[in-house]
Amino acid sequence: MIEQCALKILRTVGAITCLALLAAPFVFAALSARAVEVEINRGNLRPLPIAIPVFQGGDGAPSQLGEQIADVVQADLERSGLFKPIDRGAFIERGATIDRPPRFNDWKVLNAESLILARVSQGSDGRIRAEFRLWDVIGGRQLAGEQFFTAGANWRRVGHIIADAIYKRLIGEQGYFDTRIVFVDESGPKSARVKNLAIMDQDGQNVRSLTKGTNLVLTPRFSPSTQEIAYMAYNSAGQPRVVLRDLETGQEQSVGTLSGMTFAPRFSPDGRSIIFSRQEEGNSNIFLMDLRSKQQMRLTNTPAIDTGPCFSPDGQRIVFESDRGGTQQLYVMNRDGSGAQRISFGDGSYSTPVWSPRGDLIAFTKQSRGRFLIGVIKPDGSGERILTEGYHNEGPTWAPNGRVLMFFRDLPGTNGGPRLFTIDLTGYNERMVPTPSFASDPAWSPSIN
Amino acid sequence: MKTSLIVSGILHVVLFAAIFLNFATSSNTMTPPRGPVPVEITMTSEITEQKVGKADGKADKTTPPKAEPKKPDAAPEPVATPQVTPKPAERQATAAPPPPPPKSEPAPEPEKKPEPEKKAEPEKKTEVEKPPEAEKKPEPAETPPEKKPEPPKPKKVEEKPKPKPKPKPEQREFNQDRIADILKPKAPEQPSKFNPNRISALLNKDPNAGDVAPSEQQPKLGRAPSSFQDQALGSEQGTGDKLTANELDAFVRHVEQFWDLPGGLGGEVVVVKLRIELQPNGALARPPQVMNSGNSSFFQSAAESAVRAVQKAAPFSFMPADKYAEWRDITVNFNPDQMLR
Repeated sequence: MIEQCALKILRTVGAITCLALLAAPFVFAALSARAVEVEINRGNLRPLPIAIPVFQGGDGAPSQLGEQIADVVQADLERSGLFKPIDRGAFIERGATIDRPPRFNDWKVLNAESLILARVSQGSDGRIRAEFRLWDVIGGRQLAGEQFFTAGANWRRVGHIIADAIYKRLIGEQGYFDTRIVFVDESGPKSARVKNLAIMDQDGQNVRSLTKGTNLVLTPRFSPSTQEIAYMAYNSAGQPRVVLRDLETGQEQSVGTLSGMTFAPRFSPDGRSIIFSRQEEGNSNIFLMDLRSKQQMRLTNTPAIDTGPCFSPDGQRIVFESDRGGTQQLYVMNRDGSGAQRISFGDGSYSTPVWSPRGDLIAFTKQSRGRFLIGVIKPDGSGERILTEGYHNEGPTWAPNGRVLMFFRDLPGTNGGPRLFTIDLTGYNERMVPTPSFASDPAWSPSIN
Repeated sequence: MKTSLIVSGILHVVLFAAIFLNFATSSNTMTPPRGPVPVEITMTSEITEQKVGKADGKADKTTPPKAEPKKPDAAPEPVATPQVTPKPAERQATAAPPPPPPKSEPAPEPEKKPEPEKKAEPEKKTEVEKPPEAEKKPEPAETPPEKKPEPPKPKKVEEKPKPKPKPKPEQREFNQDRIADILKPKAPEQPSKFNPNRISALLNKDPNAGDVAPSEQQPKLGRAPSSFQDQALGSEQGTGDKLTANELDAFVRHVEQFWDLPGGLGGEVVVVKLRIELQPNGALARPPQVMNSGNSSFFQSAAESAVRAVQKAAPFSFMPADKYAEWRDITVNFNPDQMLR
C-alpha cells in the first residue's frame, strides 16, 4: 500500500519534472524575449529653454504691441525661475508665424524646447485679439493654442494670461501671473511717511492708489473673491480697527462694534467670515466674525497674546501666533478654537503665519539672534526651512499656486525703507518687485479666474 | 525495501525540488556582476538629427488631453497639429478660423474641441475685469497716528525659552539654524544666481536632507535598477546576445542627462513608464509611448518631460549592434523618487 503510494508520487513527480524540463527552453525563450526594462532615477532641474519671438501684428509682421506683450510673457516666465528665455538675437527662423508649424530644426539648434508663436491685432474699436500657439520643439507638435479678446487698456493682462497658460501647460500647476498685489505704498521722508493702500499687477506694473494717505493703514488682505480686502486702519485716537473695503465701489465698513482694538484680519476661505484678533485688557484673543450676521465667536481665551490667525485652505484649521509658551510661537487649532497645538520649536520668535493655498506649508516670519528670516514649515511642525533672511524681512504672502512668496524687506539707512521681494520655495530665486516708492505689507490676490 | 524505497523517494523529491528552485531562481534573478561602470556619452549633437516626423497617433497618449478650460483654441489649430510635419510649408494653413474638425488623425488634442464655447469665455474674462479702482471714499481726515504698527504686538520676549516640551520634544533637537545656513541662499541680493539643482533640496521634505541636493558637477549615480540587472543575464550564459549591466547603465546615464523635470514637478513623485522602440542604428523607430497614467496634475508634464528626454537622447548609436534584438524594445521607468526625497 505504502509502496504503491510512493510509486504514484514518484511517477507524478517524475512526470512533472519531465514536463518542466521539456518546457524549459520555451520558458527561457519567453523570458529573453521580454523587453528590457530600466529605471531612470535622476534628472535635472534646469529652467526650460523657451523661445518667445515678438508677436506678429494683424498684418502678419512683428508689431510694437506684439513686442510689448511678448516682453510681458517673457518677463513673467523668466521671473518664475523655471524658464530660460532664449535671446531673440539668436533666432534663425525670423518669419515664423502662427499660421503654420515652425521649422523645428531651426529652434532645436538653439536648444529651445518650447516655442511660442502668437499674433495680436487691434480692431478699430481698440479691442485686442490675441492668439498663440505653444510648440514642442523636440517632439514637433503643438501643445496648446488659445485666443483672447480684451479691451486695449488690458494689453498687459493678455501677456499675463498667455504666460499663465504656458506655465500651466509645461509645469503642470496653475500659473500666478494674472494676479494682483495690494500693498502699502509709502512715500515721503522716514520721519513723515505717508502710507496709502495701493494695488498693482503681480509684476509691479499698473499701480493705482486706493486711499489718500490720511490714515495709517496696515496689513491689507484679499478676500477669496478678489473683490474685497480687509485691512487695519488707525483712527484719530490711534486705535486700530479692521476695515473691509470693496475694491469695486470703494465702500468701507469697520469690523467689530465692541470697544477695543481689532487687528490682523484675514478672510475665511469661503469669504463669508473674517478672523482677527481683538485686544482685551492687555491680552489679545482670536475671534471669528460672520460677515452677514456680524456675530462674533471667540476662538481663544488665554491670558496671552494670540494674534495673526490664518485659516487652512480647507477652512478646517487655523494657524496663529501666541506667546502663551513664553515666546511667540506658531500654533494650529481647529476651526472652533479647540485642540491648539504648538508647531514651531526653533529658537527665536515666530510670527505672521500664512497657510499656503496648497495647504502643504505655512510661511512665517522668524526673528532669531537679531536676524529676520522668512521660512516655511509643515502644518504638523516638521520640515522647517528658511528661505531668505535680511534686515527686517516681514509679512510673507503666497502666490495662489503656493510656489512663490512675496514679502517686504526694510532696507537700512537714512534713505532706507521697505521694498517688496519675491522668493520661491527653492530659496534661490529671489527678486525685487519694482514699485514707484517704498512699499510694505503685500497681499497677493487669489487667482483672478 | 520499504525503507529504501521511501528514502529513495524522498531523495528524488528533494533533488527535483532543488532543480526546480534553482531553475526558478536563476530565471528570475539573473544578476550579472556589476563592475565599474564606464560612462559612455554620445554626442549631443546627435539629437538634432532626430526626425520629428513620423509620429503616429500614439504619441499623443503621452499627453493626456486634459482639456484645459480656457482654450478657445484658435482656429488654425488644425493645420498646426500635424505633429510631424517635416515640411511645414505644405501644411500651410490659412489662419482661417475654420475650426478644423478633429482630423481623423488620432491626434487627441482635445483642446480643439472646446473651441466654440471657449471663445466666449475668455472674452468675458478679460472684459469683466475692471481694475478695481475704487477711489471714492477718501478716508475721513483723521490724524494719522504714525505710531507703531500693531501695537498690541507682543513684547518680544526671547529670553525665556520656556520649553514647553509637551509636543514632540525631539523636535527641538533639530537645529534649524544649521539648516537655515545650508538652505539659505548665499547671496540673496543676486537673484540671478538661481541654482536649479537646489530645487531638490527645497522640494525636499526632509529638512535634514536639504544639503544633499546633488551639485551640478556631481556625476550622476545612475544605478542599475534591479529590474535590469535581472535582464542582463547574457554574459553568464555565454550566449553573448544579452545586454550587460554596463551596457544598460550606459543607456541609463545617457538618458538621464537629457531628463529635465519641469519645475521639479511640484515635488511630487510621478512615475512615468515609457516604451521605446529603436531601429538598428539606434534611432527611434517611433515616438516613445507612455505606458501608464497617473492622477497627479503633474503627470502630463512628467510624461512629456520623459518623452522629450528620450527624443533628445536619441539616437542611441552606442548600443551594441550585435545585440539589437535585446534593445530594440526597451521599457524605461522615469522615477524621480531619489531626487525629490
